[in-house]
Amino acid sequence: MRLFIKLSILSLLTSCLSHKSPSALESFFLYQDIRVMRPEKMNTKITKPLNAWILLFESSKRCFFYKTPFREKLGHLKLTEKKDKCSYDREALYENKKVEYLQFRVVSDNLDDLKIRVEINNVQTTYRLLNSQFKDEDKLSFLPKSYLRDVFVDRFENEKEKLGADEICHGVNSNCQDVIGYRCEKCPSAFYEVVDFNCPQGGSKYCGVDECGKKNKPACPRGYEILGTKLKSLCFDGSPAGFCGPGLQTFCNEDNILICL
Amino acid sequence: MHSAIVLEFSENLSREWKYPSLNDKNECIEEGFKSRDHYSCQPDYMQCLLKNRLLDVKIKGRIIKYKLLSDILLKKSSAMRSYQLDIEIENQKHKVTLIDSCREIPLPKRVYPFFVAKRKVKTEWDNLDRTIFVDKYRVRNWEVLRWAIASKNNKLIEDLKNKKMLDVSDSLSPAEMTKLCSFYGKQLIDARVMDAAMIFPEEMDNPKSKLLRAPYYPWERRNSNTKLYDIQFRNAEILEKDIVDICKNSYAFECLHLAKSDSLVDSESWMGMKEVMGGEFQFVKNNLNPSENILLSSEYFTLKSKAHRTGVRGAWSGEGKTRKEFEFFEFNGDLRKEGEFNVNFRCMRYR
Repeated sequence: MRLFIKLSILSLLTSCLSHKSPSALESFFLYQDIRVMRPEKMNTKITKPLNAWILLFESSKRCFFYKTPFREKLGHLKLTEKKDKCSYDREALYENKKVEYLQFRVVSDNLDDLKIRVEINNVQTTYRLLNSQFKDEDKLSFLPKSYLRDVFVDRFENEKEKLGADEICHGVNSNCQDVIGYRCEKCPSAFYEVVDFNCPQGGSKYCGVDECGKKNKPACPRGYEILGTKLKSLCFDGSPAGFCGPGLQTFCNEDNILICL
Repeated sequence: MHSAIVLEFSENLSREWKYPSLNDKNECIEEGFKSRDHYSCQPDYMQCLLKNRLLDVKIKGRIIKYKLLSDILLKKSSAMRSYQLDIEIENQKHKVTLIDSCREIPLPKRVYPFFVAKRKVKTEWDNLDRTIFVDKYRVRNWEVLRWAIASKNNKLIEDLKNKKMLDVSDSLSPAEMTKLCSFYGKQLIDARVMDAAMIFPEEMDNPKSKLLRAPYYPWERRNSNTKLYDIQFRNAEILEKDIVDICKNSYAFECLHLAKSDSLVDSESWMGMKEVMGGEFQFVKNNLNPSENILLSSEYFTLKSKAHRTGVRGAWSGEGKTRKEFEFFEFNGDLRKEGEFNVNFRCMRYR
């Protein structure tokens, strides 16, 4: 019985620990300056050339190799360190030798929020690309031409109805689900974000002038990395998740928005 | 084929829109404004080119005929700034949309320092889960005019008649600045975002780095590598041979004999924001410390002044241009230019 309890505690701890640190793939992609080495392999299952090592992505410090499947041998994904240049025979930082299916795509319909979606076997994960890529148009050459154009002729404009001046344009809940899907481009002028829930898509957003930090106004968001918390809600009295002006402190209002009082 | 003609036309238009060539286009170029920065993604310049047929587009050696049918009008949106015009290309009418992809620049997603009180109290924040775009340039009179016309502000329209459209706007109150930015779907720039755009990161390739030393100058990580440092901290003389270059970094009092607009536009930060230092005062919205709402680096102070550093701010009441409306704290002694003080600004956008 005691052994059983010990083993359960041990496995619980291990699973907790394994969820805390980012996976090797996450570390490779997230906020890194990625170069897509084989853009022509985008959007299809990667299978050719057969049984060959292909360098798919490169960041400033690491390399992402894939050896395509051949006969009964499955695909082999390998992440290595980069020393001057990438070499597949270097020691693996991470590898997966049971890849039946690998595909990647660049998603998003605006330049400032590009993401790479990687599908390995049945699991799809999307990673944000660091937007320093915009300084170097060469790196963007793998994107379809329409992303880079700034002149459109006879473009069909769906005259979307505008939202109200202070209306919510993006609503999230404690499970980080979009209860109101992002539609802030419909705001009559600008919009701003408030501090409510700790979500990768940010907190809820409202149309209007940003007056964050002033008395009776929302607190100015500090940012999720700086906070480094796993708390679902950032709204509680005294929360450090938002900034306020001199003499003011954060309080959580009845709409679960962090405000300054 | 007409579609091939339209494609050729739109590619030429796109190129000139983003990278104006300026040669042989003297009718559309303003005296005193030579830099390309003034004309890129600038609708008045493009309208002038198209109206006067100064844009030559050829297909297979033959010049394409076109005729501008309307003024270039702003299309309001919180997502981006764009313009529309009607044009006839080889006798067929088309509606063209021009997107402003030049005058705003993304603030890289990183952890940033913010000087809450002088350069003494610093805090941190990050924009890793948010997209922020910053105006590359300070707001111009031509942008104010479009807003003034749309909001039927006759007094402002009248005031602008005596001003050069390519000049930086210098007479708006903070409330008007907020309204103008809002008109373009943006927010008035926040002091935090301004600090972020100006302060050179200590560890450029680590966006999550919390090493936030905050160098003095927006274009250089190591303070002592820049001539301004020698002038400010080592009492170095301002040599005639160096002045043009130093003034490109910060257009200060000693630079007044040099052409301002083109010099100012060369003052660039680590992430590409321009006109970062010097010139007239820059206003920043600062709800976290309302008594620090203007950047002191300006033509009103000597180059020797330590005001020409990141995070150095003063106060403006917002109510006028006379001395009593401003507070310069410990930099009073560095003031060289008296009279009225002008304040300009820029906007930013969340996406």
